[in-house]
Amino acid sequence: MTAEERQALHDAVVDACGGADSPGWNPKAWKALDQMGVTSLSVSEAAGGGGADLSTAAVVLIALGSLGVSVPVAETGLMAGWLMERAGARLPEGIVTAAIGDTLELHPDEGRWLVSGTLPRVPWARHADHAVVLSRFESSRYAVVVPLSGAQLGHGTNVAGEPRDDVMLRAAAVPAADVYRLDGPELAVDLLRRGAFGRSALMAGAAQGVYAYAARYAGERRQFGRPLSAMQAVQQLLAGLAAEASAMTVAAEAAAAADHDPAGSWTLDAARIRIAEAAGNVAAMGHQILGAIGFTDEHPLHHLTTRLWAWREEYGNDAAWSDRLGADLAGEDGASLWQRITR
Amino acid sequence: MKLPLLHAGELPAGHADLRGQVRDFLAGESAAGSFVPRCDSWLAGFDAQFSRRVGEQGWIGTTFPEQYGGAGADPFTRFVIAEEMLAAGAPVAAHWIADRQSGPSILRFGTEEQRQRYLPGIARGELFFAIGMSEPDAGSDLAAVRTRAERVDGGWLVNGTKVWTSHAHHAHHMLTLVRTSPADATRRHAGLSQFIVDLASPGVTCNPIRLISGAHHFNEVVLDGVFVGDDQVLGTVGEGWAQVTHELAYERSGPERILSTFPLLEAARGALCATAEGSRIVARLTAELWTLRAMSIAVTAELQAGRTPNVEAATVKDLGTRFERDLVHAVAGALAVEPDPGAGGTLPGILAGALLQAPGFTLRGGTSEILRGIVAKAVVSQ
Repeated sequence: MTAEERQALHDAVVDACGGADSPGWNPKAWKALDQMGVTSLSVSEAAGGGGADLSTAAVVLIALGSLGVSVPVAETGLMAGWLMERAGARLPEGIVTAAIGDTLELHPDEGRWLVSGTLPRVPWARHADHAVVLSRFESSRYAVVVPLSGAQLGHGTNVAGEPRDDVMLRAAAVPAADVYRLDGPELAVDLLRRGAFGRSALMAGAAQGVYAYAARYAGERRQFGRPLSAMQAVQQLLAGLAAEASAMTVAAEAAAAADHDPAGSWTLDAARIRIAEAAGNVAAMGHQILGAIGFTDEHPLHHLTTRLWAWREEYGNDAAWSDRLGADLAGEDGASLWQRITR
Repeated sequence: MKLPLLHAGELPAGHADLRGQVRDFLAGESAAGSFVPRCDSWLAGFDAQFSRRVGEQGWIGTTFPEQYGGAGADPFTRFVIAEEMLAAGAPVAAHWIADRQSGPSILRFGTEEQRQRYLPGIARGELFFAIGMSEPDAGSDLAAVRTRAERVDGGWLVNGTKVWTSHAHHAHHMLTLVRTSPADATRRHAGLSQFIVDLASPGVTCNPIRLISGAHHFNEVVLDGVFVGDDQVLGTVGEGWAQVTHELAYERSGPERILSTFPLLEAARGALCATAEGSRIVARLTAELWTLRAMSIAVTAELQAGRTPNVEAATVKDLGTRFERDLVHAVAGALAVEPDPGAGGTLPGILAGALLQAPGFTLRGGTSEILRGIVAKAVVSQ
């Protein structure tokens, strides 16, 4: 993708969302994005998506993150769509969320399956039509397309107010045609990794948004007879924000670009670790520069900073991914660390 | 409003063979005992014979056109060679400055005669350069240089003192920033020029300035009535400031701003990965290094495209050199190893070398504070 194509897609996504800050669930933005075809952009065409690569999806997610717009594009496109691709089936129409349901109980029952158990904190469950759930039965992995209309939900949110609902299933009937046996190792880790990458790209976008608010405010706000940006201590913070926003953006984009290479999946984890580390710093610097106004509900900064705090912990936190990458880099394959980094 | 922001670029395919050749060469050198890995090898690893052998491979001045001893290669070729050398901790200091900076400046601003006089020797790894910028009263504030040049018949007479000049006691020439017109408080960057000073000239004295490690890399270079012929003036008299700032993006975003302490991480990986905490540290440092390398590649791609990403390069240097330093302390804190300056090539020795070199990383080539000022000005001007 050229820089011009990237910018054009970014701008198109921002325009579709109305270009405005949109706290909470945003059905208008979802509809506009769905019409553009970007909610399932990186899902294969056979599975009903746009057939684009992860780099293209990252552009969409970064743009969405920069606005803090609440739509489940990562769940629908990166996670549910990927599971349906694995199943050789099509992504259901509508809003689709995804979950790992290892504790669910599945019972085959004459042309249907009965599903019981609780899926904790499923993103946007109350607004979604279906959840594609990665579960297991006996010793096999299954993808189950669970209809959410009528499901019992325990409403919850993350610190940004985005829905994270418990889905309680009691012998919910799923047609056998919507239950797919999946092959392949590490499906749960790969699904989690895609969710984590979705959050990485969204966080990179949110950091760009914080950076933009801070740059504007530091130029406009005057104290002691001069703009904040004339003060060296504030300049150091602004440069720090510029650096972290760049690092997060480059990490998300470079990891997405390496996705086609099977040896490159560790870079998704590396990006996640670097971005999660930056997220807290970016939020802190943004709030420091915007002072008291940024700490109030009336300023939109918090739509981004609360998302950074929330997204950082979703789909595996920094410690979990660091443990995984550390084990991966321990050198048991005989390669030097440098060989891994340059592979 | 278009704020400075870096996007990922791509290291073009097609350098895999070269990377393999450099690795084979380094493995051979290491097996022959010509070097042991060390941190900050582009400052602390001076070995003229090693540089000559690198030159024989065609890996110095690779980006110079063929008629000047180079291969006319793209910046990514140099990037791959440079990062392989640094990651291995190989002693590249002798040729580093000429390859990175002085050679490209001569290529860009020099006369045809100067190119032919200096570039082939640089590319062979035989001609070494020092950077004559800093002075006792001109560190970060480079425009404050006071070394002055007086017009004389056929050239200039130079008087002044340069300090913290790496390897001036080994180098053949020093690309020297001098004042050719009196300082003007309203136009501080005017009246500066670049001279190629032959360090064997009468009137040049190099006095060692020892680092905190006790090592002699830095010098005070006293220029006492040194004659510099007109044929040793680089570029245009009075345009010195524009010339020295031109190469900043190359200077500030290269692999030597992120990899100076990588040999320590490579050496410590096994010991670190034996514990859960240590392996987490390996993961975090690797994630950071991978990100920085992607940023450095992105800046190189911008340069390749003909843009001048000075602000982005300042960001890479700020983050990269902080990482180089923090790596040392993160690794030291997780290892049960006492740093031992007498144990070169072993983990305690590499750690000791890294600790003692680390304060320089965030100072040289522009302090972090100055770099952040550059970035902030660009942010605010949008």
